[in-house]
Amino acid sequence: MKFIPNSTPYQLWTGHKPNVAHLQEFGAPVWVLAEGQRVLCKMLPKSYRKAYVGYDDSSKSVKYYNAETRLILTSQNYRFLITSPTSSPEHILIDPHVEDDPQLEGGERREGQVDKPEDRSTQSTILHKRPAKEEADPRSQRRTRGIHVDYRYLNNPFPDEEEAGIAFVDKDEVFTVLPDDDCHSLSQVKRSPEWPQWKQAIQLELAQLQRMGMWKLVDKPPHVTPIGNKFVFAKKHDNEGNILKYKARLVAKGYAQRPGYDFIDTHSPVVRLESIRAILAIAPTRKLHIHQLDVKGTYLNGTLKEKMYMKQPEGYGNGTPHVCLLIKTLYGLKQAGREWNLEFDRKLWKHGYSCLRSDPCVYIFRTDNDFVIITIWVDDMLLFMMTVELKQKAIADVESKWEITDMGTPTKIVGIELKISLDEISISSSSYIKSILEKELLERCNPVSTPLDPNVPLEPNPKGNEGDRSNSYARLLGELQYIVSTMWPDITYAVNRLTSYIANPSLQHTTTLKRILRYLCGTQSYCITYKVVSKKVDFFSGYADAAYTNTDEG
Amino acid sequence: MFLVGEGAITWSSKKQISTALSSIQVEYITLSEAVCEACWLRNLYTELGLLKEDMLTTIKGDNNGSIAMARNPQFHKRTKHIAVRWHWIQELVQDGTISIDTCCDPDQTMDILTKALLRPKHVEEMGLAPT
Repeated sequence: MKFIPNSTPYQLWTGHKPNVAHLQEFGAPVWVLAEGQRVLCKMLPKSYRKAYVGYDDSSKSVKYYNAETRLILTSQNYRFLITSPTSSPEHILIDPHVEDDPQLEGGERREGQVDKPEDRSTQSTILHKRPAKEEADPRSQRRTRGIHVDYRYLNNPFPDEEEAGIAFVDKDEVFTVLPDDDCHSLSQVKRSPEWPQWKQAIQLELAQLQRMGMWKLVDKPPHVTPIGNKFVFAKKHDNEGNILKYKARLVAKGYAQRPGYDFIDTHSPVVRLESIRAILAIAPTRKLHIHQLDVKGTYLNGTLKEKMYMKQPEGYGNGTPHVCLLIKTLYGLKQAGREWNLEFDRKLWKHGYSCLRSDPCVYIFRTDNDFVIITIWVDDMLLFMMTVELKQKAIADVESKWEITDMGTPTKIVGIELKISLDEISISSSSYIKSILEKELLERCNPVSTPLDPNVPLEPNPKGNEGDRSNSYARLLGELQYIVSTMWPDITYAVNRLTSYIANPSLQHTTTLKRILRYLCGTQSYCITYKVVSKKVDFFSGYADAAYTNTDEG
Repeated sequence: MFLVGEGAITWSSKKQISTALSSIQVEYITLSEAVCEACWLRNLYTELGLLKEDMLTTIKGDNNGSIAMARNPQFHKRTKHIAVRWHWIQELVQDGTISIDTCCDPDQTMDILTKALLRPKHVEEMGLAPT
């Protein structure tokens, strides 16, 4: 056994590199001749654009995905109009996933690695040439568009012609068409008109990483594959949609980590929503002060136990072949969340706080007759205190350990909006509901008064194939279930009923789902209010009930 | 569903895991599930120092048979098939940590979680209120 870098078993055996130029990117457009068309018509198209899936193993045909019938079919009469993206160096620049991918090695080195430019300087020269070329050749822009296709939206792998038309007009409008306009890769950002702001954000991020001593540069040890990294970019908006902040963050490509070597456990707890509600419920009665803190660069505080190497930051290396030996957990690493939680836990215990057994993310610090409660959701802290002095102490405790943003009296925690006044606290989730309604284009629908019509029994899908088979039904239900768990007990039953048909929803179920949304539309401003409770024997009380339901509910 | 004052803090609605032979058994199992949640809430509040161990927690059900069974551990021909795990509730009632109470149907806050309701009832029973 001998380790020979940069080679494949095939290459060693035969002495030459395999030609993989015919391989196409998964999902690439392929034109397939229309076969078996019943009505022969001159004016009908002769071929249709489909999504490429792979080559057939036994014959010379290509496998393609038909989005209308949701089937994968094969055809011998096909054509790729565009040259293979894998052989084009431009593609590597566009697609952030292919570049620096350490997973593709040995026998797996097939796609996207053929003519990859090794030198960064080559890449940047191509980058500068690129815009001029795009103006000359509209098709290359169409390709740019094609690469943005998110495979989760395979129902419509290609945008309709109108949308593509927009994409032709102006490169920047391509991004406005996309669901979120955040730029996705360094090269995209460099081409955007907001590059100066982004550049500043990148500098800020690198400066913070440097300050925190995230890594040290070392020579690359042999037989070590450093994991890659990339920048992710996000704009922070305020409530009116104005851009508040440009944010760049360096993330490690955690998917290249090997379980057992690079990480072991990844679990990290967050506070239960019930706990937050339970504490909020008693806050008015006990006259607790509530304060919210947020830790800056949360995950960067965790210390990495494993020895891990990372490439130098994408586009910002110092030109040497050094690699970064990670000291702290970078965003994107699998164990980052866990290490942060452990770090938080350790530091709080040192300050005399102790966590509860019934919820490991609720910490309490007790003096003779006062207490401080801290709940933590990743980096969102809620502090509950009896007195102002204790509040100062608690904030100082946290501040002494980490860089924090003081949010003052909380207005929002994990999607729950809070309204705090002296003798009552209200929680609601109206902005989340509004965003769902806007997404479904239902913000102006007619509200209904109940989530479920008691007179219409829900039945399983009779034929098994009518109705909406896209995953939008499941996605919406997922969003509704989050609302149920945060604050809407009244739609619990309706949502539960609908989830039992999630595998095969019929038209009736989709309509019922719309009804829940219409109900939410009417009640979105409702809130649960916790008031001062007069002294009673019962601290809290519960209700239990069962109901006989239909037999089809299985 | 659990409430502090008038505000709901936890709620859940689910299909029962086992087949029941009688409505009493169904309600008994439901009570038992509710007691589990109550225990967690009691632990939480006790650990926070807000609840004394000897304070009672009331859970309201609407089935007299199941309530009687929880309060008074009798053995009966019709209830001999109920699994031991559901009888755990009797221990807690005897300890005095949980008390089971009755309430008639109009008071049942829980209906909202188990049935599709007509309008007046639904609005009435909502723990929510417009702002």
